[in-house]
Amino acid sequence: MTAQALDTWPVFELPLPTGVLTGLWSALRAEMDSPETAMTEERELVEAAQRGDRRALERVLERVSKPLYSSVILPRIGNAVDAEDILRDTLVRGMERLDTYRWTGSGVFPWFRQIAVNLVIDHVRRKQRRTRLEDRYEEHLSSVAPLHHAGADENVIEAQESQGNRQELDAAMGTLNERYRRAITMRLVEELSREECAAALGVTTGNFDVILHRALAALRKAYGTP
Amino acid sequence: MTTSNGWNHEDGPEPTEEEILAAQTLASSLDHPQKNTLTDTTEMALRVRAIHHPSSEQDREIARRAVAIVMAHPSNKRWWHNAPYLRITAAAAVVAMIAGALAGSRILRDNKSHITTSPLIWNAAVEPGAASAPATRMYDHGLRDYRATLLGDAR
Repeated sequence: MTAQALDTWPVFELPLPTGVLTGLWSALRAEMDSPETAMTEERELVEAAQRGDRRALERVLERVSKPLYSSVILPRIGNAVDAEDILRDTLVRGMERLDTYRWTGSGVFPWFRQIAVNLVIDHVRRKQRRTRLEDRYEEHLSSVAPLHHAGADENVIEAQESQGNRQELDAAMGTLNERYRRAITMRLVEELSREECAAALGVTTGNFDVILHRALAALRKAYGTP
Repeated sequence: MTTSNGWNHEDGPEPTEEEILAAQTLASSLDHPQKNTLTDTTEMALRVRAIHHPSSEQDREIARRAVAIVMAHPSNKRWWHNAPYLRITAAAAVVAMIAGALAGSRILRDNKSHITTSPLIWNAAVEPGAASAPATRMYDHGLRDYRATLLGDAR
């Protein structure tokens, strides 16, 4: 086929395809991205997993694992190693009890979230550090309300969970005195060096360490206060 | 008002040696958190960091690893995964039982050592005045079988 023949190839002469195909693709994507489609997809996935479909089970776990770790477990544990253990236990427990799960409009994430929070409480109890902090977790447990619809994107779930976490943390920070609040904000939120933080507060680095230590102890108490 | 070590009393009472040590531990473990050295305050600090600075890629890798480990977990092999084999085994067991029962009944029938057909004597009508006749006939029936066995039908 010569170059001239290619130029006159019927497909290239049709005025419709690009616009029509783009329109169809947009419609298809809109349909695929709609909450109803995502919800149906998640429901089918969960039900397939309940019937013993391993691939479906793996996909369910993949959907929930990242938000569980970064938005539910780690912000409540702090310790990455323990948080990873709890994530694994959450997934195993969820997998073992998946046949008891009954579909709700908010999807499977809140169900896994409850398991994770329960395991966080167990973890704290095992460490024999019963404090008001634990009561806070139990409040979480009883007040788990679905913030998002089923089939919600991982980023949506994480954003909503993170927003809740930040609001609670900010409320606790608000009860601290100004210098403690500044110490925590500069070192842990703005991630300044110890020397920079100490200079900003007008103290030595060693004394800044003490202030930060006291500030975190105060925050830990405040965070456990409903 | 500050002391010789620069401590400002507006920040509270002067720290004890123990508190200074704990503060130093916190400072170093924030840079290099290790599970065994984490104190309550360090964990609180790490929680603040996790809330404000989620490490997306690292968290994703941890989540991926957890799923892979969990999918290889023994409890993942739920009972219904074995159901096809269980069903096949159960069906095979039922077939074997039926075949065994059929074969057994045939063997029993072929090897029976007793007369299964009732002698006519039991079905014969009782005739008036012949009260002893059935017993005699029964004796004769038994004797005839005996002779047939020992003497070969030489009656």
